[in-house]
Parts: sequence; C-alpha cells; structure tokens
Amino acid sequence: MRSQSVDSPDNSHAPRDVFVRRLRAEVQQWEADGIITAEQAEAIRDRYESDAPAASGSAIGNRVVSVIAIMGAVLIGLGIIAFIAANWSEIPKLAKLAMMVVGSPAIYVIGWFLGYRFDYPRIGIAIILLGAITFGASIHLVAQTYHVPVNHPNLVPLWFLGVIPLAYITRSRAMLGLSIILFLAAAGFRAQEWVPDLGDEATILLIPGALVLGAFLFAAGRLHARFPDTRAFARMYDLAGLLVASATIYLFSFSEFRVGIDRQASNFSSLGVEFWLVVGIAGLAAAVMVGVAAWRDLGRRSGPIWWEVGAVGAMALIAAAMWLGLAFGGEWLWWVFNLVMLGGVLGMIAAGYRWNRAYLINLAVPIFAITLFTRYFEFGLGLLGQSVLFIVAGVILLAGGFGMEYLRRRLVRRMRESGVAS
Amino acid sequence: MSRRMTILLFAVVAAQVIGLVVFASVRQVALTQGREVALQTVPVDPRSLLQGDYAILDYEIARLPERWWEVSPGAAMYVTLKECGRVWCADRYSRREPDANEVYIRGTVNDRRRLDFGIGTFFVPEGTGHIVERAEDVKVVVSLSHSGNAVIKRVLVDGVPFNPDGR
Repeated sequence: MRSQSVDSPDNSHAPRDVFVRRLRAEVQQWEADGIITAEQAEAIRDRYESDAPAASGSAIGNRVVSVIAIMGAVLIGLGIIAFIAANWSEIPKLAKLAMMVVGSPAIYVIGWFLGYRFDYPRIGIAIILLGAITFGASIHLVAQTYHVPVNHPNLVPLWFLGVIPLAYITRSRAMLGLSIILFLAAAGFRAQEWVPDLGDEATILLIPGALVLGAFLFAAGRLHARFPDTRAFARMYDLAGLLVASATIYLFSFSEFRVGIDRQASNFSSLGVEFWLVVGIAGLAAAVMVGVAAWRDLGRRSGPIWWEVGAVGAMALIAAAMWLGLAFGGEWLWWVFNLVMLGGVLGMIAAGYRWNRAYLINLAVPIFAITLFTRYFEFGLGLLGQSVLFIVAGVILLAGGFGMEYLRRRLVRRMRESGVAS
Repeated sequence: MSRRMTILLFAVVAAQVIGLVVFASVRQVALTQGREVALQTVPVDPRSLLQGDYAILDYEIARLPERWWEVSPGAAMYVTLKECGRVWCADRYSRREPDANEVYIRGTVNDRRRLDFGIGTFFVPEGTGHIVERAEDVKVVVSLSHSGNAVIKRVLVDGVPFNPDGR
C-alpha cells in the first residue's frame, strides 16, 4: 500500500508526478538514514503532494474531478435514501431484497472495474463511495421494514463498521471522511444507551466524553503520520480531532454553563458503566497511539512529538476538569474554559507556524473568530441598545474578518517564503 | 490495486451483505415464530427525515405502577400479560424474568416512569401518517419471542389492519 491517497492530486503520469514519486522514495530513504527528521520529511512531502498553488495544473484538474465525482456520488446516495424513505411500501419485498443483496455489491463491482481495471481511479472511488452510502441506506431499509426506529443505537455503528475497512483498502480520503462522520454519529447514537433519555439534564455529563473522542482522533492522526502507508490520512484525523475538541470546549465556554455546571454529582449515577468503559478505552488508546508516535520519533534530533503529547494530555486534563466541575460545582471553571479556548487557538497557531502546518492556522483563526463574536453577543445584549449593537457588531465583523484574513494570509505567506508550504 | 487488496475489498462487501441478511433474518424469525398478542396504544405522528413518515406508538402497558417509580432509568423490566377481551393487558410488573410458560414483554425504564419496548415506531407511506393519527382506536399486534422481545406484526386502525390506500 502506498502513502498517496487515491483521491489526492498526483495519480497521473505527468513529468511532475514522476518527480513526486521519485522524491517520495528518496525522502523515505533520507528519513530512514537519519539525514532528515520526521517532520522535515513530512514537510517536504506536504510541499510537493499538497494542493497548494505550487501544484501543477494537472494536479488541480485531478482534484476538481475527484471533488465533482464525490459530490455526484453523495447526491445519488442521498437520492436513494430519499427514495427509500418516500416509497418503501410501493417497493415489493423481492425488490428490497434484490437491492440489498445485488444492488449494493453491484455498485462496488462497477466502481472497482472503473477504478482499477479501466484506469478511472477518481470515478471508481466515487462509485465505491456511493456503494458505502447505499450500504447505509440498505441497513435503514431493513430497519424500516421491521419498524426499527432510525435512532436505534446499533444501526449507524453497523454502517461505520462496514465502511471503515473500505477507507484503508481504497486509500480514499473521502471514504475516511464518511467513516469519521459515521464514527462520531455512532458514538452519539450509542450514547442513548448510557443516558436513557437525552432530554435528561444529565446529558451534559456526556459532553466531556466528546473531548476524549477528539483526543482519540487527533492521536490517531499523529500515529498515521508516522507510517508511509497511512500518512495520507493523518491530516483528516487531525482536523476531525481538533474540531471535535474545540466544539466541546466551545460548549463549555458559554455563560449559561455556569448554571449547568452547578453540582450534577447526583446525576453521575445515570451514566452506565459502559460509558466510562468506552471513555477509558478511548483515552487509553489515545495515550498508546501518541506513545507509539513518540517511540517512532526516538533518536530524531527534534520533532513535534512533545506538542502532540501535550495536546492529547491537555485534552484529557480538560475533560477531567469538566467532569470535576460538573460533580462539585465550580462556576469559576467557566473562566478557565474560556482561557483554555484562547490557549488552544494560540497553541494551534504556534504549532502551525512552528511545524509548517498551514491547516492548523486555517482551523484556529475561524475558531477564534467564532468564539470572539459569541462572547461579544453574549455580553453585549444586556449592555447596549439593539441598534447600536448591530452597528458595532457589523463594524467588528468587517474589521475582525479583515484582520483575521490578513493575519492568516501573512502567516501562510511567511511559511511559504521560508520554503515550506502545505 | 493489488490482488490482496482486491480480495480484501470484496471480502468486506461480502461481510456487508452477510450482516444485512443476518439483521433481517433475526427480525424475520422473531416475527414468524413468536407469540402473537394485541396491545392497546395511543399514537402521535412525527416525521423521520431519514426514514419517511412514521407513527410513534405509546402503549397502555408502558405506564409503570407507582411502586416501581424508583427504578433507575435504563433498567430492564418485564410485564406479564393477560388477556383482557380483545387485547392483552398488564397482569404484573417485575425486575426478574417471568416463568417461560407465561406471556410477557421486556422493556426498559425511561425517565418519564414509562417502559420502552422497542416497538414505539410504525413506518407508514409518505403522507399517510394521518390515518393512524386520526383514528379513534389503534391496536398493535406484536410477536413476542421467548425472551420477551417484541416485533410489530401489524397495526389495527379502528379494528381493521392499517391500509395506506384508504387515505
């Protein structure tokens, strides 16, 4: 299995692609020989394998084909789901069975032929993705036939288990994206088992668990980055993990949280053993993955590993602080979570700048902007008249947006000028 | 794609099909081999974005007697049933599984002091949910397995099986 994902840009036979393939092999050898560090190797690979402006016209064209084909697959998949939802009683039982047993595998076969026999890899992957969506539709079709509710906790986990191996077999980032979405959705649906009624006030106790899932995904990304065969997936795991973690901390940064946090200790018994087991396993797995990543970096001169270990450790500590706050009260923690949000954003910008990861800066800046505007509206409504508020908010939005974009562009430009872009 | 990866790809596809067939078979066996009983319901009519129209069914036997109100949400409970005219009604509630010669249904306690039997959803063709919603009397015929798990067989709307064409 090669490191390059199928739906990434350089799969053609253009001279640049030949160069990239040669460079990739050389970089792997330089890294193995200790000539360059792991992060330098990754930066070089990112420099030539990304969709940055330096990419060739053919690479950009390939990316466009991938995106359009995947969008087409997703639209067809949504259409199939809507068709099943609207017409299920008019579909004869035999047709339902045929769709399940023949239809979905037939889509995979068509995708495989197009992608790997007729050399249309992007179209083939998009059709295999359609097969994965159709698999989910089939699960819900069976559920519907037997009146199993859509929120049954086993349906989406079954879908996820059927799709995740395909991501690694096809090396498709789009398939991995679908798998990560299903993974998070599956965790949400399984949560019903841990708190029987999600309308219950104890639901807030589940939220820090999402932070542990974020740490798990981020650690998975860092582990994937250490192996040539899985490196192409690293960034998607990183982004998913950081997004989930940021969204969790964002929820706890609201002033209403001071009310919610007020002594939920009595409700901790509502969480089943299964919940704590899953959280423990996810946390342990995150620690093991980031530990293996650190072990892979042993002997290197320097590396981002301490930042990575620190990020995973910080996520675990913040989750623990959230649960402690919920158990024992502690309104002051609301301030801590706002500072943590700010620290996280600054940490992402610093790590992005230090380790030449533009995507970290591109993620951190909007998160900062959203948090800033949320706080402004949260505290501004009680202090200013509405008309003044909207005018001031508009000016702040314009100025803030300009400032953020200026900062982002400056940082990315400086990184590119320093010779490494991603 | 290497030969090994091709084999893996189609092995996963085969596993997907087997998973679907097993899922359907388990439900079909429960439907055809279980004990058939009719339960009295009170329906409402929401909409599922993913699965089309459906009716939420709430059962008379789902209401827990006061002496069981302290049972924690999420706990399993059993309702032993007895015939009350044309439907089956609750005879007694217990935390322990009743004897095999009795007719009983298994449920999970929710935080509204009611039981969830896993038969709270009945899917109907798009635009026909009002037939169930407006009915004066709705009964659900379910199939009960030996362990008390229930699967919906059919819905009786005002005494006759639900017919989406009778809109």
